[in-house]
Amino acid sequence: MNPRPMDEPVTPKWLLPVLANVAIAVLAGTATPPGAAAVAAAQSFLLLYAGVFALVGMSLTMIVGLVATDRSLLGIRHRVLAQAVHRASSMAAMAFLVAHLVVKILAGHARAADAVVFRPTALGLGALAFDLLLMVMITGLLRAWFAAGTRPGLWRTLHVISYFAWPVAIVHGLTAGRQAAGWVTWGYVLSLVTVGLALLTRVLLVVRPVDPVREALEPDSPRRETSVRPTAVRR
Amino acid sequence: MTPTFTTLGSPRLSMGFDRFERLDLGRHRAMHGRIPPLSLGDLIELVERVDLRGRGGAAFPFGRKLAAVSTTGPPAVVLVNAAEGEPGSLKDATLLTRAPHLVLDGALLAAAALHAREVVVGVVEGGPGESSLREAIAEREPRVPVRVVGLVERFISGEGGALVRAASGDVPIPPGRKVRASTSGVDGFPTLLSNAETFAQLAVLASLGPELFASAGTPREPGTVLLTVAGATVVEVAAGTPLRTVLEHCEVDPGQGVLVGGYHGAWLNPQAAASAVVSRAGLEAVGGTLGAGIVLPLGHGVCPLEEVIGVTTYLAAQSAGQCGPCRLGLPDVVRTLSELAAGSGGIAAVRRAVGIGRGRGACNHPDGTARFVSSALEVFARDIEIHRDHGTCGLPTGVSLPLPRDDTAPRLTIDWARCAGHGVCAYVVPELVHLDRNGYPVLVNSPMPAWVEREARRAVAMCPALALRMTGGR
Repeated sequence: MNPRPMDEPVTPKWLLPVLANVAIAVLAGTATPPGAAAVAAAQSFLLLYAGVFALVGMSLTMIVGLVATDRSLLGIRHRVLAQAVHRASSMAAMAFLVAHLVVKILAGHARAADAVVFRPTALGLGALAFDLLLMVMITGLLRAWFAAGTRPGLWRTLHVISYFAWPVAIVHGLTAGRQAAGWVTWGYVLSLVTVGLALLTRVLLVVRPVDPVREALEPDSPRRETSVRPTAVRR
Repeated sequence: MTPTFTTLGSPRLSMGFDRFERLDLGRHRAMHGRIPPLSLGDLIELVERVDLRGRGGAAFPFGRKLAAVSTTGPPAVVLVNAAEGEPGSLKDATLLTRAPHLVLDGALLAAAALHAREVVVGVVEGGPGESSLREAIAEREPRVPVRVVGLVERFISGEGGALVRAASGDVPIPPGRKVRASTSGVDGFPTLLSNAETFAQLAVLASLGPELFASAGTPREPGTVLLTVAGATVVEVAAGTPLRTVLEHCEVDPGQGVLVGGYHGAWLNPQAAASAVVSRAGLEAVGGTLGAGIVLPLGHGVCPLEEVIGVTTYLAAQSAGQCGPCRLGLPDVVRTLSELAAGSGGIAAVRRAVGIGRGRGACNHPDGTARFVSSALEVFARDIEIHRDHGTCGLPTGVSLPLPRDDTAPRLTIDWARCAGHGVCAYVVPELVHLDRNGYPVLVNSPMPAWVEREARRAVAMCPALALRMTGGR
C-alpha cells in the first residue's frame, strides 16, 4: 500500500527550488508585453471567479468532511480517502479565498480592513466568514496537538464553527458583488439543505443518550457533543 | 559496561590479557611478534590448511573469500566488521579495546597480500573500541591507509551489506538487492569483508603457523573461539570444549534453556546444552548454531515466553523498515506471541506468522528472527502449555536477556475513554496497531522505529475520535 523510502522529508527536497524558479520566471515574464497581458487576464479572471471557487471549494470541504465521519456506509479506506479530499479541498478553498481578498483589495473594490473587520453589510459578512474559517483552518492543522493536550474535545467545538461560517460565506457570496444566476443560488441552497440534513442524521446516529453512570459522576455537566462518545470522565 | 574476560585453556587471541588491560604496540609485538608479509597464494594456502572460517556468524570459508577478491582488476579494499549490533555480543568490542593491534595485524596482512588500496574498520560509534582502535592506528604507521567508520549501534548495522554501505558513505541499511562485496563492495571496489575476530585469528595463525594453530580445537575446526556468555563475560575457548564446562567456568547455570548464536540463533533445552560441545558441528548436532559465539542462558524464575516476546519486539523495532516481510511480518510475530502468552492464541498462529518471512527480504533478519522464535516454541513448550491453559505462568516478567533500552523513542498512547474503535489507526500504521476482535486497537508495545514515525503522526492526526497521541520523542 505505502512504498516508504527511509528518511523522506515532509516536503520533497525539489519543492522549494522549483517554486523559487517558477516565481522568478513569472516575475520575469510579466516584464514582456505578452506576459503582462497574461497577468492582467489572470487578475481579471481571479477578480470574477476566485470568490466563486473558494465558495465551491468550501462547500465540497463541508460535504466531504461530513461524509468522512460516516461509519454506517463507508469502509475505513474510504473514510481515509475522504479525509484526504477534505484536507486538500479546504486548502484549495483557502488559497482561492486569499486570492479573492488580495485581488479585490488591489482592484480597489475593498479596503484591507474590510477583509477582516465585521460590519452588518454584505461585505462585512464575508469578513466574518473569513475570520472564522481562518481559525477553523489553523486549529484544523493543529489537530494532533489538540489530541495530545488535556482537552481534545475542544478541537471539535472549534471545528464545529465551520457549520456557522460556511452559510455566512454563502450569504456573502449571494449578496455581495454581481447578481448570481438563478441556478447558482439554487445550487447553494441545495448544498445547504443537504449538509443540514446530513448533519442532522449524524447527530441523531452518533450522539448517544448520556450514560447514567457518568450522569451520576458529573451531575452538572450533561454535555452532548457531536463526538462519537461522550466526553471523558476525568474532565 | 566493561565485560569481564576469562580464558579456558591456553590463550591465543587473549594472550597477555591476564597482565595488561590493553596491549599497545610494544606489548603486542612482545606477545605475538612481527608478522612477516605473505604472498596471496601463500596466505590462501595457510588459511585453507586450517579451514579458517568467518567469525561473524555465517562461517564462510575465509580462503574462498580471499580467492574471490584476488581477481586482477581494480584495487581491493579490506573491510573489518567490528560493528557488532547484537546486544548479547561483546567479543569484537573486547578485541578492539584490549588487542586492537591483533585485528590490525590480520587486516594489514590480508591487505598487503591483496595489494589493497585501504583498510576500513567499521566500529560502534562512540564505543570504547573506537578510541582504542584510533589510538592503535596512531601508534603504528600502517603501510596501507586505515580508515575507521563509526556506526550507530543497532541490530542490522552489523549486517555485511549495511556495513559496506556505511563504509561507502551511504545509509547503513542492508541493500535491497544482494551484491557480492568481493565483486563490488566499498565505493564499488572489490572488498574482502570479514568479522574482526576473523582477522585476529588470521594474525594468530600467521604468527603460530598451521601446526601450532591446530594444536587446540577439533580436527575439523582447529583453533579457539571467542564466546560472549550471558551478555557479560567474554571467554576464549578451544573449539570442542563442552558447553557445560564453559558455563561452569563462567559461573552461570543453564537454567530453563540456553540461547546460542544470539537473537538470530536457536534455543537449546537444558539437556541439549549439557551434552553440546562448542564448535559449529557440535552446536548444529543439537539443533543450535555457533553464530557469532553468543551464549545466553535463561535463568530460573523468569517467564520464558515474556523474554521471547521482549526480544522479538526489539527485533521487530530494529528492522530497517524497507522490506514488507520484515516491516509487517515481525510485528505480526510479536502479536501472535502475545496472544499465545495471554492464552487466547495458539502455536499454529505463531508458526504461520513466522513462516511468512522465510527466504524473503534484503537480509536474513526475518529468517533469523523466525529461527529464534521457532526454537523457543520447542524448548519452552511446557511453559507455553501453562500459558495456554491459564493465560499466565505466574513467573515474573521483567526481561532479563540483554536488550538496549531506548526510552527516547516516541510511543503511541490511546485515550481509552475516547477511543470508539473506528479502526483508522490500524489502517494507517499496521506496523504498530492491529484491531482486536471487537475492533479496538492493540498496540505493538515497543519503542517506535524512526521509519514508522511519520505514518504514526498521520494516524494521530486522522483519528476520528482524537483518542490517539504520541508521547515521548526525540
